[in-house]
Amino acid sequence: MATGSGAAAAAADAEEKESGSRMITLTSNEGKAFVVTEASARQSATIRSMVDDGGCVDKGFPLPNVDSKTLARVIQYCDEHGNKEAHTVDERAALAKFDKDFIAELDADKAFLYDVTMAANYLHIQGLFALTTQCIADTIKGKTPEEIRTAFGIEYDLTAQDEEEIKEEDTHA
Amino acid sequence: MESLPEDVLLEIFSRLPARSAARLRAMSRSWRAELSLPSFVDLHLRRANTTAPPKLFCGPCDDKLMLADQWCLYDLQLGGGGGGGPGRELVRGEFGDVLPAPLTKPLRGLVLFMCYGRNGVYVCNPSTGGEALALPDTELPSKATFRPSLGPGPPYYRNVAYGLGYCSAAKEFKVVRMFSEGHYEETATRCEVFVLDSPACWRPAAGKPPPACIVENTGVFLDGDGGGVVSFNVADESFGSLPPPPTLAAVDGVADWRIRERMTELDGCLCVCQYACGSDGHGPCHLWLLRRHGGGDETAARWEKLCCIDPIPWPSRSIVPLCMYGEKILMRTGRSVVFAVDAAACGGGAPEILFRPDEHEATAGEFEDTQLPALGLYEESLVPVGRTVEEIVFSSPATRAWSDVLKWLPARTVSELSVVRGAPWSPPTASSAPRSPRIRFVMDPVGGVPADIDRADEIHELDISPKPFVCSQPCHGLNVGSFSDILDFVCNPMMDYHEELPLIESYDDDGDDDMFYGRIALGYDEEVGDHVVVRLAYTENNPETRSYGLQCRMRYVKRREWFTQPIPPPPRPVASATPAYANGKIYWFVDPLLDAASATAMTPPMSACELVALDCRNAVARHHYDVGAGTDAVWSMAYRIELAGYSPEYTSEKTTVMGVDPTSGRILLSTEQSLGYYDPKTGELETIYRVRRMYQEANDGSGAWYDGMFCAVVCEESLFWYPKPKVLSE
Repeated sequence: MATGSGAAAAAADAEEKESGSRMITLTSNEGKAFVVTEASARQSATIRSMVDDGGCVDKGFPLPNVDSKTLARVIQYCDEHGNKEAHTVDERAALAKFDKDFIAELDADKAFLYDVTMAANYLHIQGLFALTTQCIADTIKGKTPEEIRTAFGIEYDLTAQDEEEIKEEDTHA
Repeated sequence: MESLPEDVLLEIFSRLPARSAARLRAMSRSWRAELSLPSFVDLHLRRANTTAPPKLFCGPCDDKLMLADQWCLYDLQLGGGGGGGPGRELVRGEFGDVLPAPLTKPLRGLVLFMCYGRNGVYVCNPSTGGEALALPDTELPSKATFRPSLGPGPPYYRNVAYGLGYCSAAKEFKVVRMFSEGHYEETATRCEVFVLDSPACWRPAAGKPPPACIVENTGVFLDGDGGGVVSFNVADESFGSLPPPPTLAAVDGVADWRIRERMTELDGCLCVCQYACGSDGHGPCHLWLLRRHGGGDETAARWEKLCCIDPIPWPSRSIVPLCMYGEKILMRTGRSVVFAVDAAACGGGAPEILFRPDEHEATAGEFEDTQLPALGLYEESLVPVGRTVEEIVFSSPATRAWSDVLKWLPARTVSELSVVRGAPWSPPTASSAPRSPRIRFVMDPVGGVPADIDRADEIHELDISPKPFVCSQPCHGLNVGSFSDILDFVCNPMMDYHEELPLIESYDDDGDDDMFYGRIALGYDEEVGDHVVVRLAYTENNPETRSYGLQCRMRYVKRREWFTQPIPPPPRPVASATPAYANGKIYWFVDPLLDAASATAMTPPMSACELVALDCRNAVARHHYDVGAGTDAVWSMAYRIELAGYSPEYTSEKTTVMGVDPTSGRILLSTEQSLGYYDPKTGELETIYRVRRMYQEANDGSGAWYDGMFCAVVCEESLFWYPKPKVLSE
């Protein structure tokens, strides 16, 4: 039994090694094709599951929800995290520095930051999604409920009774 | 700008600090509901605490922590090379007590605090503004209060330690406390559980703790017997035992008593920090982790040495690891210094100081080297601290009914049920059924040692002393008394509460003649919610010339302060009869020997029924009263007591009315040697207690003989007492 599973693991390893060198084509909603390594593409849980399901690796993956500009930026992140090792302290520090610069650049253009967040969400790229949502959270941290309501287009529908309750909670805290 | 979908917004909001996220509940109706869901609270807890570095809070110096309205805990930014320091305020003087210190690490954002002013324990969430819930019965736990009238032995425990646990299956927090006697073998250990946000109080844990535990306030409990560790399963409340950590004595060859051992949680494992400490500094610090192998089986756990840290340049008797910080271990000393050591570089690598309180303006000052400094970890969390028992009681009809049931129980029973709150329970007089007066004897003027009538003789010899002491009838749950000219006291004999009132330094005490029964009086100030003690003293007392001088001082019992200025004494001389309190006023009798005018009360009671509420020592003998000159009040006779047939046991000179039994209409009389019920309808007197030996040799060795006398008091069913603030021992 033990040997059996060991052999299976070895086979999986071999496949992994082989697949690591494969190239995958991602197509933006504008029809532009991006060729990336499989390791890079596997950063996305969405693509990973399609590849593992034996999907159409050769035909490439059309991504109707992502435009070319956003996809290019997302791939930049995936390349860094997919193709580089993170075993030593130095390697981890290098990746952390990349993340920091990456998000600082994105932060300057809020609309684009939202696009990348949406793409990360759609493609299930966990690390990138955490990075962008944390960045947005940091910017709205000090804002009032009114400001956030405006920023995210949330409708105001609190009744007088709700407001009373909220006031009470505020004085309590 | 294009808006983001709801699930993405939820992700963003879950990464906000707790206070910001809580504020967003005022955004809209749907978000208000969404952000209050337990699922969001959980998501927020996971997301908002992922970013390094660890969140710490720190307090200012001891002087500032001592001020109830001023102490605060700051968010502590860690920065190597002096970049950090105390930041924004997290908690500010909210608990109504001083010297807060965390007892535990954050658990889903909640931290147990003890305030060392009065030793109260609080549950607090520092991330949401320091809302705190005072745990009941912690300032002076009834299990840790010595009550002599219960006799020797338990329930009385010297040590108590608290811990906080969370049962994820039931989704409830449990505060656990262990009581122990100390280091003696075979002594009992008790464990109690308090479930947060449930309409109950402390209850015994389901499982029985092993005997002879040493309990320390580290959130973990040490087994004193084998030196092992006792574990407590928060879900099923069973106890287990873990192997003991290796002893340092064997490693370094140092004496046992010099070894400091601190236990905490580190990196998901139980961690013990050991080092030898002497007056000249301390030895290297050994950190052990209890690693689990092969799943969660506790028996397979083994202590493994994590690292050994060289002596640090600032000796402290309390060095405790806080948490992992990347590859490093974050630690603190008893003086709130935070430093990091490299876990990998065993024995090598100098500690890196991340925070020293004296380098920052907000925290600079004197720091005591204490076991539990005001420094600890916190988490961003939206978990509420829960409601108080009262809040829950009054939100549910069923539990409100339960509270009504409690009101009908005798105070003693209620207190034994441990449903005592930290705050005094108001005497349930309004809803109580008429009940015969409960009489207890105060056996000793210094310690109280109250005893019930039927047990008075078996517990103690009655006080035989050349100097008598008296005790007043109850006023709002408390009694007050005087012992000769030596001391005064307040007490609640139901609760074994007895507190000596200190003398005033400026008090002009001219000696033995000072003792008279009206010296000390007790009232209750409804507005302030505190008892008032009034002490009168004659500076001069000459019946022949009818000249006298009176001094009057007042003191709040709870606040423990004498009024700095003497207050104007009563306008007329006061007789030696215990004063009485009614409707916000204290009444004394006028001393006819000193007063030129008449022998009526200084301020006559307003109605006849109040008369029985008064102690009418002199009135009994007089049988009727004159209308007070110049007042509208009319005295009418409520009871006529004929004592002629019961002389000499009850003579009108020495008999005092203690009260009226509302169930039978009989009047309770006391001569300090006999207690009896007098029936005003039939004129019959039934003696219920009599001093066994009317005369006895004094127990002071003087050879003199004195009357055997008792000090009987009528007790109210009251849980009132004012716990004494403990003097800081550390």
